[in-house]
Amino acid sequence: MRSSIVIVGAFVVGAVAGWLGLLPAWVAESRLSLWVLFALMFQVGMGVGSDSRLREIVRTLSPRMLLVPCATIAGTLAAAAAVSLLISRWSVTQVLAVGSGFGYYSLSSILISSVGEASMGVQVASELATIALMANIFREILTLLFAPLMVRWFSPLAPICAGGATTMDTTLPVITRFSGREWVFISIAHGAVVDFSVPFLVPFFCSLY
Amino acid sequence: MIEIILVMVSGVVAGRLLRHVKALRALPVTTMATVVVLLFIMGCEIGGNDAVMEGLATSGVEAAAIAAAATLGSMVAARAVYTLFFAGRERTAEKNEE
Repeated sequence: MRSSIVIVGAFVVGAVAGWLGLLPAWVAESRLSLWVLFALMFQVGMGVGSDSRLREIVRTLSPRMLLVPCATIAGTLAAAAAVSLLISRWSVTQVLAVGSGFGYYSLSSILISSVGEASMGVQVASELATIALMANIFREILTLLFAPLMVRWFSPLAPICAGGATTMDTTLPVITRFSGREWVFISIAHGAVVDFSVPFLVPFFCSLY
Repeated sequence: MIEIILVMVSGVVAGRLLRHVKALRALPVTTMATVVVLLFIMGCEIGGNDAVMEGLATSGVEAAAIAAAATLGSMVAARAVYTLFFAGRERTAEKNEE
């Protein structure tokens, strides 16, 4: 929770600094954010590669277990496509780019603002990145708050699929508590697979715009 | 797009090769610091963009709608997968235990 506050805080402080015009112009004009994004992706990759659970996760990935992240991805994308019909301002692929953050708000918004800039322009990409940041924070909060009801109404797998990319870290405690201990390993493996899909799906949908 | 994936995959390989190096224990901290820097830069770009700031309320409503739909869609899919592939097997496992 503390890390979420720090991340959102960094964004808010940056937004205030930008709004007040406190920042030198070269920050916005340079390709600094792209290089920092590369540094982030390298570290995300290193984190996955050096994780001691990696071998165990890969070894236990059965076709049946893989159905869970597939359900998350398919269900999210289908619903995002459906809701895009109600949001006239954005195209289906733009809403799909937001949806395919799967709760990974920091990375999905950064990817949209950096990659989307080329296809949509700075203005549209910035606006969509803000929506991605908020939508994916909301998704994580919904999972944390409503996990017990999700289990009751939709099965023990529901908080795992709702949690998306966050089920190997932030939402794991509520999943353990309300779905049950027997789902912990599926939750971690699910989080790893969905997490890994974000850098593929978000830029893919941005490029389709 | 391809550069981002290549950078990430090379990170996975580097992480695997260097997994016993103690310095990698600092990875969560450095990753977090990088995320903070990136979101600060993104915040600056968005804060300096008047059109985005003016439309923040509309963006919030759209974000809430997408989040609600995405969560609901994944839960419906979760229920389908559970009913089709997990529930029956759990019952069989329970019977075998009895």
